[in-house]
Amino acid sequence: MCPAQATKRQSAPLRPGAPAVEGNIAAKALYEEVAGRLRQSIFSQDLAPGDRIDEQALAQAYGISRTPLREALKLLASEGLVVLKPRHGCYVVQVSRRDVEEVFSVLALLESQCAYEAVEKAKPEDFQRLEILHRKLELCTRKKDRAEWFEINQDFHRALHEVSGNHCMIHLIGNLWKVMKLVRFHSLVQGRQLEQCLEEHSRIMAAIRLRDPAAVKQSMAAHLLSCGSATSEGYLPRHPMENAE
Amino acid sequence: MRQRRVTGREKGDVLGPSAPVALEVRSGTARTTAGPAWRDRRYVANRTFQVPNLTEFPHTRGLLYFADEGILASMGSPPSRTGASPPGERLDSKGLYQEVAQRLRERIFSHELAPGTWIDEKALAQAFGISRTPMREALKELAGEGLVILTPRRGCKVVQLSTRDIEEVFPVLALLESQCAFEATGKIRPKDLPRLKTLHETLEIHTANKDRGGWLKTDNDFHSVLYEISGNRWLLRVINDLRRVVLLARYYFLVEDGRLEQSLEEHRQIMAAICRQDAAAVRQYVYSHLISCGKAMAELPLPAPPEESAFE
Repeated sequence: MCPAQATKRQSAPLRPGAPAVEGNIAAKALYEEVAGRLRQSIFSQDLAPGDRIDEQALAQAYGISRTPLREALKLLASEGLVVLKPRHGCYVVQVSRRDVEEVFSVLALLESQCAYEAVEKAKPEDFQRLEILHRKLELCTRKKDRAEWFEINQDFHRALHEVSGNHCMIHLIGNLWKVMKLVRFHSLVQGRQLEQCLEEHSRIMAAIRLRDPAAVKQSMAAHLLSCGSATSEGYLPRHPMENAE
Repeated sequence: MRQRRVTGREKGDVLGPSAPVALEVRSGTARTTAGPAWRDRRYVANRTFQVPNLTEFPHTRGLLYFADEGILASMGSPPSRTGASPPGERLDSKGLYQEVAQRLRERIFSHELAPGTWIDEKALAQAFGISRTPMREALKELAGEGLVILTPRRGCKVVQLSTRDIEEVFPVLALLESQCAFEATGKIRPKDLPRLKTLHETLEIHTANKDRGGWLKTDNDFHSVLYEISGNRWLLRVINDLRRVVLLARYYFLVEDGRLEQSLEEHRQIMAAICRQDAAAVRQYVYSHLISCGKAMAELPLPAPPEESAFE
């Protein structure tokens, strides 16, 4: 019997009614563990977009039977990370440029709405936190530290999500970012100057300082849309898209 | 058009216009997937198929395909509408769990299995006279539709949305659907209008007959057809996932007096705006339609305690 583990649920799929227990110590199902590992392989590009997932080999490597592996794959498929093609097998999703554009357009909608609500609800300590994060971003830009920049960028966005408090939106945004991780958009946006990203963030911050929700919403949407076009322009799928079977 | 050997459950059914999904039909060990082109009436290998609409057969989660130009969904064979097996081929034991799923679905919609109820799989399996495996498959199908949740080591529970969930979901749906409707209206072509008009007329009929189930189904079809025109598959996918989550709650909501009429009125406005291709107006009407639905639904006495969030 495997002992119950106090593990934080990684990227739980949309599951209405699941109990929101703080520090959930119910044992994680096997397929969830497997899904977690697979997800990591995919994000680290061990399993690259378009790669076929060899179910048999994986099951052997993980020391599990086909069934939990299949369940894990179904879970990842519902998150949009893999694709199950009948008679062909399971493939890591190949994100096309169109997908990138579409996802960023949806993200623009969601993130901007989230930011709008956040500014409406934010308290002084929340504004302070955002200021601190923004100052860190300025520092990173001067130091030209990309990795750090993206970390703090994520924290900034997450801070806004938390203040808005709309779990549904946060969940959806999380799922979409996960799909974008597939295209290693971080490295793609290498092409972009940090200065430009900072410029967009400064505009958002200026609107936040004015406590102007509409302006925040507009500048956030603009930021994401320009990120989206930068990412899709620099993006070349590794495998040519096969015709759908 | 690709020719494939595909066999369907019911002969003579017509491939009708429906949501941007395709159909995976099982026949013995042969499985295949239809492409997005198969939305219109097509014959394949001398058989035609019923394309299930998203209300009755929302795509099973976990079996979503990306094709080069469209999102394909894979579903099990559509369960028989009357509850009895249709004449023609039986698809091995898969037909069994379909029937069980259908019966459970009925019980859930009728509130016999109330939201939040834990489902006793063993007892039910015995009552239906089936073994655990088809029971599990039936529950998985319902889980894919958003009607139940399967929790590992704890069992199966009928979905329960709290007031907070409703308050969170509907503004998001309003945002997404209004944008989608906006984009769709911008791209609408004359040949799309008849389909929408027919669906709208069906809505009028359902309202007159006070047919909730029919209303929900046609309403979903209407929105699917409209949103598909926008061409933003990801937006559509997110919208569909959310709509599935609130499906059960919406069914209850429609019970309220005058709610069907109210929704119909809002739809009339939307339809009129679509016909005159006023994208901004469509966006506004869809937005206010969903916000008002959400507000009204949040006032219903929903059984779950408001502290639980369905999205964590």
